[in-house]
Amino acid sequence: METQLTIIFGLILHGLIYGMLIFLVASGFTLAFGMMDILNFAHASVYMIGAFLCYQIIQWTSNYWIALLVAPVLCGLIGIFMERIFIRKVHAAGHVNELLLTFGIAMVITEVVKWVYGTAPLPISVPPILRGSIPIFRDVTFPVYRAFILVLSCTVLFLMVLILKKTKLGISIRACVQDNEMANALGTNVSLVFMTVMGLGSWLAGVAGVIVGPYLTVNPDMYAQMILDCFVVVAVGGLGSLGGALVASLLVGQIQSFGIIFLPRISLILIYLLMALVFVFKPTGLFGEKE
Amino acid sequence: MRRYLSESVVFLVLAALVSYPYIVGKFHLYLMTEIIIFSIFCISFYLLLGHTGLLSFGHAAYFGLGAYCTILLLVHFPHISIFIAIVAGGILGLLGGVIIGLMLLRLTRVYFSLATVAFGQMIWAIAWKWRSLTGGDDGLVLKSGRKVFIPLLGHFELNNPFFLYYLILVISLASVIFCWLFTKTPLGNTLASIKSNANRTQFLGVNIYLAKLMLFGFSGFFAGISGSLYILLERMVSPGLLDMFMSFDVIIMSVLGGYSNFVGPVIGSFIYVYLVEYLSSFTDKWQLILGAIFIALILFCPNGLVGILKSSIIKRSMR
Repeated sequence: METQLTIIFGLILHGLIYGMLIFLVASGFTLAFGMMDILNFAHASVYMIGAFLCYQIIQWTSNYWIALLVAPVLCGLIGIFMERIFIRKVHAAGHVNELLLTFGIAMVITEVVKWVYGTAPLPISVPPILRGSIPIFRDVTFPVYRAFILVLSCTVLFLMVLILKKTKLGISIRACVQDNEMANALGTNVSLVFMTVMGLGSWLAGVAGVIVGPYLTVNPDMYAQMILDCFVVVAVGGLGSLGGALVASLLVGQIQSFGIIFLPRISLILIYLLMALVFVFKPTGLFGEKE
Repeated sequence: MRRYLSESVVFLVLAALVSYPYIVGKFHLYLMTEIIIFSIFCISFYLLLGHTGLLSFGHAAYFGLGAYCTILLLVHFPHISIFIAIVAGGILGLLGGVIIGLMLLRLTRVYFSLATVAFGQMIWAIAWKWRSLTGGDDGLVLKSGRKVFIPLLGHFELNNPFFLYYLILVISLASVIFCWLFTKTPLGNTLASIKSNANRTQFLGVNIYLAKLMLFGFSGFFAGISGSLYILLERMVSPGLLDMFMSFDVIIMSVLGGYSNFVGPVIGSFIYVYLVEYLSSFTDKWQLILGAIFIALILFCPNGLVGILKSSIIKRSMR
């Protein structure tokens, strides 16, 4: 009985953490999607780059905290660079070209990463302060690093809500998500706002990449896993809806976590089944309104 | 004059295709067979993307369904005619297209593309995990030594590359003609009008959902046929045939050749197969080079090679 409880506790925790990680990546993705109708295949690449930058910076400086500060900023710059150099060029040419372009960028990034680091998983050790675990009751324990991930991601989430709800930038972003033509007509610099969203979103993906390093492994396959999860989250949560993305991320996290233990044969299919159900009963997603 | 030009080009290409096995060696014959199969796959994709404007990132699902269906029939029923197996592959592709289409086609544009990725992955996961049926990761292997009976011509070994080439060529040519005629039907015209303006088409009283659903089934059928033919060539199947990277390959081929008309996909698969063969012979970073070419094409000539040719011809005639 007690071991079962321990296992279930561990699963819920893992699901929660994985859900938060997905949310960190998916939030930028869904905002860009809601604003400019861009399905950015390369967004999960930025997350992967974050993880590899973390590995590289730790190799050079052997300090996790520097990596946590620097890598996401570099990721943000990559996001802005991508928007300025590539996406902006083909925006006028329509959806198909935009999609194909971000897809091509993702392909090249994955290949470059494979070229530089190989395909084997790279280890990142947990920084010394965050090792060990907190006892909760009897033999149920809570690893410190997991607690750290939860606290960090919740802080980031809180900051994001604060920015979106309280600042002028946040109001502009929400206006653009709702109707970017109208926002443009009313004097918002939509392309600037979009660039900021791409930068911030990439920063968030970078944060997710850095904190995932010591928790899971760092390898080029993490891209495909994350992009698929993001797609499901955006589809289930609804177009450009941040709250929807949060709910969907946590749901997907729990489904992944429990599915692998209890339904190993169909665990891969579960999230797509969830998505199929949403499409059949509510094609706009759970919280989406815009079509 | 122009009419005769295009007819003579078609005639020359046909003559080249028929005489190809007598000109080149076994290796290039194999590559050419692969190119022909991928051309059908790409044309079925062109019907979605180029003709109707639906960008699907899960097209390999139908290819893989056809492939698995054919190999399962051939493995479990040793005496079944391969033609039945091929058509069955196509029909399974059709069913897959209709079922996935039922769920996805109400979605618009980007949302649709997003959903196709996930559904493609779902079919991949089923093929990967259903070990008792599909052999999981190891896949299935077709035993050699099967004989095929063609009326009036007699028995042939399926292993014979010459016979296989002509068999695949004939089936593929028939498929291309079918697809081409399809675009000329009223349904084909409706689909082309959906590409230009879906809203207006709907206002004209057309049930665009039904039209797109029929297109999905049709496209799935030919993707399934191409998957079946691929099995005859490769003689084995694995989940790699229907994962997202296979779907990406067909997109890359379409962009290389251009997806504005029927010639593009064919040229695209030709370039793709030879380019991959050439690049991978001297570097293992060929995917990186391919990706760079892909991005450059999207940025500078989104109509692919056919687009470049076309614009240069127009420029010349303007002079």
